[in-house]
Amino acid sequence: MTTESLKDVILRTVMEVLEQSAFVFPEPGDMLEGVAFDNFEFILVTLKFTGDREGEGKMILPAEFCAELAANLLGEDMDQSGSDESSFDSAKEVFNIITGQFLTRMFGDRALFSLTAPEVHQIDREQVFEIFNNQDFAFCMVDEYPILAMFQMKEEQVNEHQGSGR
Amino acid sequence: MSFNVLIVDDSKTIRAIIAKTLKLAKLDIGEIYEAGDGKEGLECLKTKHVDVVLSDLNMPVMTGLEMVAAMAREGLIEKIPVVVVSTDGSTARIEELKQQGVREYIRKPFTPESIGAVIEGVLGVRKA
Repeated sequence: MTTESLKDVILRTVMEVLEQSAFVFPEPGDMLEGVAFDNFEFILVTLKFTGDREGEGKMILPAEFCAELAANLLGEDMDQSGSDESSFDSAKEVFNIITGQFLTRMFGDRALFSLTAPEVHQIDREQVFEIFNNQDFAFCMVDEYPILAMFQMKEEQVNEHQGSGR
Repeated sequence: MSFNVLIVDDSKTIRAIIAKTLKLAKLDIGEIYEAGDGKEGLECLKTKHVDVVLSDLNMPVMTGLEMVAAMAREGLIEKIPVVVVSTDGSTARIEELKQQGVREYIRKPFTPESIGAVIEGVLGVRKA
């Protein structure tokens, strides 16, 4: 699979999970075109997986968007659900779902994985730009909020029940 | 007749999401109890009347599978069905869970309709 098609799978997974679980509607975007990164405080959600393949995933999203995620997941107004705990828990939950769906799409439904609990890290803008420059993220926008996600996998054995790799 | 549900997940937010979804499923639910890990779940089962358990797998202290094994040892798994709610979509994992006594499996993301259908199937109940 090429880097581009891997990014496509990640992007499609992120967009579908956000639509289905949080009822928001992302659009594919271009990181270089007029995204107002200065307007937001960003968080980084990380998660590792082992099993048929080993690797890790990262998602970067504005903290403000996490509050919207929490409100949508909990079916509440943003004022009611606006604690950092529920906001960050919601971001972790969404990324957990994204990772599960992504791994099934990549390796089929016979593949076995164990996922670590997602972790949330608050990051500053310099770290955001460093990540943008050094790694290969899929990128989309939900309204004005930029969302980035990537998965890195170690090259390992091809399992006998590997899926179609779509 | 209403039935009681125990939700076992280490995230308070996820427990709230599942509870909200259960309510939206229009099932005839009595009490919804919550536990933060398998150990707390077992303690709840000893003191409350629970008709069905919805459980995560990966939790600190005691995992969902460890809780299922303990329920089997105590003869509870036949009486109180356990439904695992997880992001893992592996059919091999689902088969493994069912062999260990898990009655059903709900993959995230779930909807009120999907969670309602599973609960109805497990308990043989109809919507309220």
